[in-house]
Amino acid sequence: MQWLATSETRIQQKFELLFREHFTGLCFFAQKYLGDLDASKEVVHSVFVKIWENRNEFDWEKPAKSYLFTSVYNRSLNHLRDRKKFIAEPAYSDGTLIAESSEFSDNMVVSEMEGKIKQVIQNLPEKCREVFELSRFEGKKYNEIAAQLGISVKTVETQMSKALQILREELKEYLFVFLLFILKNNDWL
Amino acid sequence: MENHSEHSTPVGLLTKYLAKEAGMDEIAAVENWIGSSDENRQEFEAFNKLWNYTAAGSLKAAIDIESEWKYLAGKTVRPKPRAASMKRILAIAATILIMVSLSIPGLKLARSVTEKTAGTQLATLDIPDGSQVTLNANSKLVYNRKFGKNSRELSLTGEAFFEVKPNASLPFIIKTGDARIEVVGTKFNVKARKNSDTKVTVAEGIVQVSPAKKPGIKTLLKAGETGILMKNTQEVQKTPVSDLNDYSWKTKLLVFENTSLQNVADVLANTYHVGFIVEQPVSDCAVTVTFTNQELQDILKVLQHTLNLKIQVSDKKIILSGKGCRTGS
Repeated sequence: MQWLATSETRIQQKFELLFREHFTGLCFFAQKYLGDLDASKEVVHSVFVKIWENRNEFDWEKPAKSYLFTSVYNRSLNHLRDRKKFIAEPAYSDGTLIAESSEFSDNMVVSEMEGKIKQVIQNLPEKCREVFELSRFEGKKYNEIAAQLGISVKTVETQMSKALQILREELKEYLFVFLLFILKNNDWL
Repeated sequence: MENHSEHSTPVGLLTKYLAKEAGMDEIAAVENWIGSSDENRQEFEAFNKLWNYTAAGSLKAAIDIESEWKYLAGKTVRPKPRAASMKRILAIAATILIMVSLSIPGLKLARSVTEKTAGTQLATLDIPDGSQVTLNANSKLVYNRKFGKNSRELSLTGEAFFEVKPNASLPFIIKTGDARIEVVGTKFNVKARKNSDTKVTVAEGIVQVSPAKKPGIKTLLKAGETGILMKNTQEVQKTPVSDLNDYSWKTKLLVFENTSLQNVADVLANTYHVGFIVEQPVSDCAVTVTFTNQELQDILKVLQHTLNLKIQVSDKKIILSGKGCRTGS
């Protein structure tokens, strides 16, 4: 299907897709080291700017996930060092070693999952998202949500189960990995 | 497209149970369901983890992927004119050509700016009043050079997503072949292809739609609503729900729920700018699946495997055929 797009637009599309797929998860990942969301966003953006600058050398066919997380990890540590809030040297400087460290990969799995959930929630139909966020983020009961939004409790019920159904569908593969992960770290949640 | 466990999973009941909103009977029913097979227990476990996970504090963080992408795109794929690619230069040249040709019939037209997209290209335009317009492929936007000073009026052929900067004293007016659309500040999609109904899908705020020929008859559309100006009757029909797929060409998020393969192909055509021919009997196959940011090839692979399709490409069109689907699946 070569005719679908020329190579420059293809790279642009792949770049955008890569960004949309991983940005949120990478931010959550950086946040685990930096604490601060805005700084995390900046770090992740800088990694993508770098990829764009080297787009002609970048291997667009290869899965980029571990490259992205490793780059964000390194830049996050650099960022901490620059702010002099971090004195010790990073434990690993070689990407392959980092990828094998269990803290790194655990954070990566969790962040990716968080990012994916966040994205799915954001893409829920407006009403559905509103109801779901009031329930899960603000801990409201169904009748409180119904009163606040001027809808019936039955509608709240419907929207909640719709949201969960969509999340379940969307996170199919992730949940599998996630369940394995839970088995390994039973005390995690 | 769905497997059996999903069919039989009582999602509504499970959700009530997890939310601690279930009554005694319902709790008993859920626990009975969980206990009845290992498969059910696993499925419950998945929902349970998901439920617990969605309460995580970090999920409240304000990350809006659209504005983050806009920010990054400004630094990368949409840089200063100096770094313009050949394609962009050609596009600019084409725009200038159009402007020149428009300037011949009269001075009035020469004062307008035309933005056009062709082929598979989308364009994100920052127009003079600070609003942003994303043009789908094969679409055209024309506005006055003085746009934003005394009025905000423009004309659209094709499809565009508008993010209008709020300005109550200067209403934002879009004219299409059949419709006149007026807003103050909001986000919405307009699809006004030639010889088709005009469709307005509202993402945020309120949009007012009138037939161009009867500007006095106004229909108000709120967020989540859709208005279709019918070609044959010149009347606006209002639907209380929006099809998320109206935005797919921009968001690359496609949601199908019991959608016929023919309709799926129509959405894919609008999103990926390719033609489809869907043959009988597969055109009636029902599809339930969601795609996020997938390449067309990958989507086609999924459809091919789940519906046992035969996919051919001929004359730049994708032809879907096959033996069809069992009824009731």
